[in-house]
Amino acid sequence: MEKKLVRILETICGAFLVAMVALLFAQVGTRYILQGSLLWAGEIAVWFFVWITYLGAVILYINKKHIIVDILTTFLPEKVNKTIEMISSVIILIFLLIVFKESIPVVISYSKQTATSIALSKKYLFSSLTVSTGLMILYTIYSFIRKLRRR
Amino acid sequence: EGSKESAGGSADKTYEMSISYGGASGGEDDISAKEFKKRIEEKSNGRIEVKLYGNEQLGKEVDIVNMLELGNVDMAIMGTTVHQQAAPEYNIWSAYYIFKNSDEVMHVLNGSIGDRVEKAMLDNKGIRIIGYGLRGPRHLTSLRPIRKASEVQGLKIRIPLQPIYVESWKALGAQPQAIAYGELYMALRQGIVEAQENPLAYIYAPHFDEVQDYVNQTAHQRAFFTYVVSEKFFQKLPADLQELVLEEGEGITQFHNDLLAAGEEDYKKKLQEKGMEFIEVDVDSFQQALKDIPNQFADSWVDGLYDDIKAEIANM
Amino acid sequence: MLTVVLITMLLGFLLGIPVAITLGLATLSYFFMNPGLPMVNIPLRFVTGAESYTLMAIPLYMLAGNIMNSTGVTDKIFRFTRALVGHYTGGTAQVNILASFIFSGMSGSALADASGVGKVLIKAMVDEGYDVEFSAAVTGASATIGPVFPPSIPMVLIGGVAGISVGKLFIGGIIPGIMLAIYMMVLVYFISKKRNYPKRSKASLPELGKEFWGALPALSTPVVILGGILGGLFTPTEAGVVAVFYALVIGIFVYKQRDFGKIFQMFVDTAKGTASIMFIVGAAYSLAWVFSKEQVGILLTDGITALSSNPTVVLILILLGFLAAGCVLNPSANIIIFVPMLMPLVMSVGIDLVHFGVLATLVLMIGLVTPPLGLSMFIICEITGLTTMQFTKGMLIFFVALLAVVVTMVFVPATITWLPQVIIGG
Ligand code: NA
Ligand code: NA
Repeated sequence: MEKKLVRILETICGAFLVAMVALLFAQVGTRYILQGSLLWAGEIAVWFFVWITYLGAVILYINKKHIIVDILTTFLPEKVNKTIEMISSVIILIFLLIVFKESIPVVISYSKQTATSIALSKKYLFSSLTVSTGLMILYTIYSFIRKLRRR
Repeated sequence: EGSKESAGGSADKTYEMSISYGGASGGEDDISAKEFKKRIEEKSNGRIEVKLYGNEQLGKEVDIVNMLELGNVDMAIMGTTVHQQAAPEYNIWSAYYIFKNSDEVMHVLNGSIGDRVEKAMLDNKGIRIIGYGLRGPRHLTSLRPIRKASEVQGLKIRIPLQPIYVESWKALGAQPQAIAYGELYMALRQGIVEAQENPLAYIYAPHFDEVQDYVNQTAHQRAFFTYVVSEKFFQKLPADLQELVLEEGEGITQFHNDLLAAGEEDYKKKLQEKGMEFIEVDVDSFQQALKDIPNQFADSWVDGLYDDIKAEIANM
Repeated sequence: MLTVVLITMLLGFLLGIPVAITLGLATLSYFFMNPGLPMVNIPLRFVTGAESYTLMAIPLYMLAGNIMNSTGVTDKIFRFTRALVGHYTGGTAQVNILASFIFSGMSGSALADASGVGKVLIKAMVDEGYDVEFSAAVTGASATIGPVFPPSIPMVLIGGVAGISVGKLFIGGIIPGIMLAIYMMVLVYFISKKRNYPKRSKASLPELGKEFWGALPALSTPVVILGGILGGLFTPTEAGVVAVFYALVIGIFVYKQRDFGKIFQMFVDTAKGTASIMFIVGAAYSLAWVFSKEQVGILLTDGITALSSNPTVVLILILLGFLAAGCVLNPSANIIIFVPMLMPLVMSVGIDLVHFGVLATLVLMIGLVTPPLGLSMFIICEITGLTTMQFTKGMLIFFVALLAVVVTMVFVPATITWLPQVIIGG
């Protein structure tokens, strides 16, 4: 199941990057060809960039590829590491829950505002983090349950 | 420490008040913020402790608006961004040649239209306007002198990203382009664009005099700073301190505007010393060329706003 | 209050919690202590930190490099540099440095360099009889050239948060990038002489010409990027777009890479690489708010100016700070958190902004090859199977070379500031 999710997220992130590059290219291109730049293209490209950041973060989270400092963990016996890993994932889950919850008023606050160059609500930008933390929470709970079942 | 009390706090408590603004040390907003701090702390007998955060330390203007709404910043001194984000239905202020001089600006902001704006911002975003201060008018700098609107034809100009600016410069026959302010010096130097427009302070600070020859005194936009307070913070204060904040907000305008007037003279002199030539411009020709722009955007504002403003100015 | 924030950060690192989340937890601890401040600010800053037009250059420079790589360009660079310098003493080690240098003109990150050039070159060196430790050290040290010679991801970040022209920083990095390569090549020459490392037979002129032709598309990427910026055609972000377009055209039409699935995979890889950096940037941006709110910048400024207000002394103190912080925190986080805080100090004592930006970049890159958190080091250890201790021991002599470059740059500011002044002025 996680493989499927990762595959879907990867396809979305790749497609978003294609969109980002295409928009930026349109912006640069129109400046030279049409004399006058496509202003909104650059601004919306940034939104794709933010979505790539936070959807990409979910992929890294599932694949355990986020950058970590493993000073302590490399020196400790595996049994202790298992316990540490358990503690960390609880702390991470709490953090994600708080950020998820607190991101909702942010989305609401920005939903009345629009991009500068085009009438598109900023909720489409700020919901990226809500979706991202939401997915990470679901995955964390899913992998907890799976671990418990294995015991 | 920040107070946890709800509306109408007690009399012996002290309140910490954070003020965010964009300017670096020495800008009008910075100096005025310091004066505001001094006045508030003195007159509250230290019951309000003001902390200043210049240089956009706490965030970009556009996001400070949300921090005010959500209660992470208590007060801000901001450009028209706060109007664009929190009272867009009244944000006609970016349009060119709405005002002919600074008296007209202050008259409209402090009149009945100002009251409507104030209410809208409070209702929309929980942001309370407590005062205003003028900004230097925006002038056009270039490599060739521009004396009337028809001479703008074909000019490659950098402008900030806003549709009304784009339409205005297109109407004048220019080729507007969006370039970040931080990259503008290089863009001018390399000839990506040949002109830009900004208040004198923003022409002087990044040494645009090295890459531009003329300041064409178009004064096409007379913008202003707005002093705004988070309603979440305001409601924490007891009545007497609320009163004080409102009073000092109103009182800072004179200080701010005097400062600006002196600053404008000073910048003009300095830029001339650096070899920039100041050009008298046929402002009427610009105004004539741009007179339909506000009507093109009328849908984005409350009904009849532009006419109301013209009427209010006519009644001065 | 700040002590709690720092302790939280330390605990997060010790528990092996991802850096981005650790920075977020440190921020959270501050809001727990300040119930008057709503926590909504954390997600707000996460998003606004990533929402930057300038920072879009990060995926663009990464993507251009990845597309080039997928077309086998690293191998072409390897062959060309081998034909060029392979016949000197310690030839393949010299190739390693020169290939990194050329690669750095396409890529903005040390990590891409360590994994791209590293994989090919370490194997070649070990096969020829070089010590693994030495091969790893040469790779790690030369990977620091990547972000110093333009284009550069850390410079995009510094320019973005400090309001310094990214174009000027790029040009300021040209001479230091060349200096790094030269200092290291000289060092490698003497070590190789002493240890009697092998050299290869000299390539004939036609051979050299052939390899040059093969590597030409790669060699011309920095020309496209820098030429575009210098010629006034593009801003750095736009130059990134053009570099991507150029890489696609070269890949599809010159190197005949028609496997579009593979090209799309490069977009996916770049997206993941971007997320890895930008998630930390967003988190660092939210922690930076806490430090701003607590006016740590003023504390730092007062603390340092109490010691001295001589620009060179202040610069050295700041660089020492970055060197220490670089060991435990990755470059992006360091830049987002500390650079805005230090800017008032830098400006008030009169340090040249480009001088500061380029030096900060180099010093932070040194952190990538030091324990405990050194991402280039991790990649190289993974390739070679060395432990971080073994790697560090091999690196020691190269730290001397890196520091020698830093010292030269500190005391001869013209090495950085001269070229931007000549080309851009101001
Ligand atoms: Na580079
Ligand atoms: Na390190």
